[in-house]
Amino acid sequence: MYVLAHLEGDMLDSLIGGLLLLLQWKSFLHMLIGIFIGFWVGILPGIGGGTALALMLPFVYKMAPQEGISFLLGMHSVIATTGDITSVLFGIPGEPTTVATIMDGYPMAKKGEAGRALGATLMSSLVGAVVGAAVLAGAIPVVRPVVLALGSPEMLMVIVIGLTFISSLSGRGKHGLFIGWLAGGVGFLCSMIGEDPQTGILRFTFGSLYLFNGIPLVPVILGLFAIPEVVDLKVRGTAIAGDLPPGNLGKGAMEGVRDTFRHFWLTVRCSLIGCWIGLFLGLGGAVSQWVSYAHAVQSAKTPEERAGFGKGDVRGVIGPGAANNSKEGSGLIPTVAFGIPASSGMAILLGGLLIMGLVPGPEMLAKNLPLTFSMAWTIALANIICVPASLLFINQLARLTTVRGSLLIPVIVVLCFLGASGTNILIGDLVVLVISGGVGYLMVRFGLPRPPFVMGFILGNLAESYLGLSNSIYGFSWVYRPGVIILFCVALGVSLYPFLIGKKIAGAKELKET
Amino acid sequence: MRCSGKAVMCFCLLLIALGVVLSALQWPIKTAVFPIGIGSIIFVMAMIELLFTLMDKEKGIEEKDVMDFKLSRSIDPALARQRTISIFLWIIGFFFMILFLGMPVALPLFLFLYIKVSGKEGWKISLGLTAGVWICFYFLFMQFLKIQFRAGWLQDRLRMFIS
Repeated sequence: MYVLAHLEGDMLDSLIGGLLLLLQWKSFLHMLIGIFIGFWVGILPGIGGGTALALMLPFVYKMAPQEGISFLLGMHSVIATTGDITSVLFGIPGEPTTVATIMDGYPMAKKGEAGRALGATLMSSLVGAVVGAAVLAGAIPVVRPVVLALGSPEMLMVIVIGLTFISSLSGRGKHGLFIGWLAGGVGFLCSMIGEDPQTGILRFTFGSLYLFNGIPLVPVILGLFAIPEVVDLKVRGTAIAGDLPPGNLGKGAMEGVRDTFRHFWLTVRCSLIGCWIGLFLGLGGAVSQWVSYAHAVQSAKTPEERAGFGKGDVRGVIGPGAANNSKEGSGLIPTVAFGIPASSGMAILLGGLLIMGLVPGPEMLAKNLPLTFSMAWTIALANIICVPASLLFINQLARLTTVRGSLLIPVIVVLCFLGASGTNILIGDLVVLVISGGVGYLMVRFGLPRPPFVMGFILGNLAESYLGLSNSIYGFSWVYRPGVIILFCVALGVSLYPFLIGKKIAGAKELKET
Repeated sequence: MRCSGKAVMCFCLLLIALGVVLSALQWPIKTAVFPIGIGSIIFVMAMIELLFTLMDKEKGIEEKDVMDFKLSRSIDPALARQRTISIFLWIIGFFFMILFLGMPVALPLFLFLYIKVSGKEGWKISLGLTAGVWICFYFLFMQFLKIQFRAGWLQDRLRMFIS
């Protein structure tokens, strides 16, 4: 008891110490600079959080650890927040982790509700970031045994849970579900291009050096999601918000903020989903946004309500917005506690910590505990500053949806090409962008849903790697592991949930009629 | 029987799945198990979907509630087709401009041509927006981020010719 009380006292001291470290003027100033850079990096498609962190690494050499952490983390934690702005306004993902926001955010912008969508996504991002920071702070003492208990079979089951959400991302009815799985399967097939993770044999590369590492995610996502929207904008021949009067667009911002609190438990649940997925290596924001979007869809109580998703339901904006930001906090847990980065962004951040002389592991949980807590504070505070600042300019941002299509289209196309080429400048990336654009258009045209495709594409390679690893290490006995059985039951529950709810509603309707 | 664009797409998926399975048969089992498994499932699903589409059982599924973005239906189909082809040609054209001239030249050229020719905007707006975007591009990507964009194919050839 004495030890526990002593530990709690120590934790509280470190928690307050972490805040005080951040509030020192130099650290605070560095965080503000980071937020400013992160704001623009998030808005511009293509320059992802990882790239921005890598570009900023040389600047942290001369910084003190606290200043460097405030700078890097301040920047990194607002990128997903402002990435949502581009997704809502133009239908282009500002970041690969903000694609799901397009699903309902862009239709809302087209209906003249850009302000409401922005208000909702920004506020849910803030709630998500705070939840993520709280999870980071709260998990530090207890996370070690949990993360170490997960082997490759359990990771495979987590991916299976992710895949079961495809059924929620598919269309209505049996046929909708069928084509959803078909799209997911095609995404799975595309993920197999490149070197086989187990044997190193090249698959479907057609002798092209470019395809050795598989098809890159960013050009595929930009092509699939942005090009069809550009085509539609051209076909309509109007601005994004059609011919709606510009005066009303930013007005719903406070309504969007209220929407977040109206669906507060959904926001918290999606934040926790983001935290949970953010913990696992290699999954991160690309998966958590879709899983949380699917969860938001599942929260619809009637088929009619569910049909509103994809057409501008505010819950479809809140869910991914919250998950995108909450995963930042939890992603830091394995990075700081074990030196195992959960994503590419975290790997670069780990590099930054090492540059500043900080060694992840027990030292960060003991001697440098205030510094670790200051990370949680930075994530929360950066978003607390960034979100109101963005809300102040919401009218100006929303007015962009009234700019003529003839002026907007070439700029969006240029942003797509710049985003696809990123910092690699490979012609192959541009070819992938153009092909994915064509494929995305055909998918939209012929009713093959894109979200399940992306889900299959992201998770396919990981599933194959973990399956191979599980078989190599445990043979087939991995299926009997308790963690696997528990997670399989969760997967089963998730996949059956829509049907059970459907039956329950049908039963209730029948009862009402009789 | 109804041979629609969707039927063609299903047929293409079917062929791709078949190609995947046939290619995978030549690999060791560890490498082939996933492609064969998934490819076979896609083959069967694409076949069922193709039959559904040809038999006209699910007529108009594209209008049904697929949970995804939907293209505007209020425009005259002929005009919509013409505009769709036009924008795809512009996108492909921009790609070839980058290939032949390099990004720093292709970007302002595409912007200006699109705004002036396709957008039918005035000279001031066309030149102003082109200059604005190019300045942002130049300072952000070339000066601040120090990204070295590849020279275009034509510039390479010209340099080789001169040297």
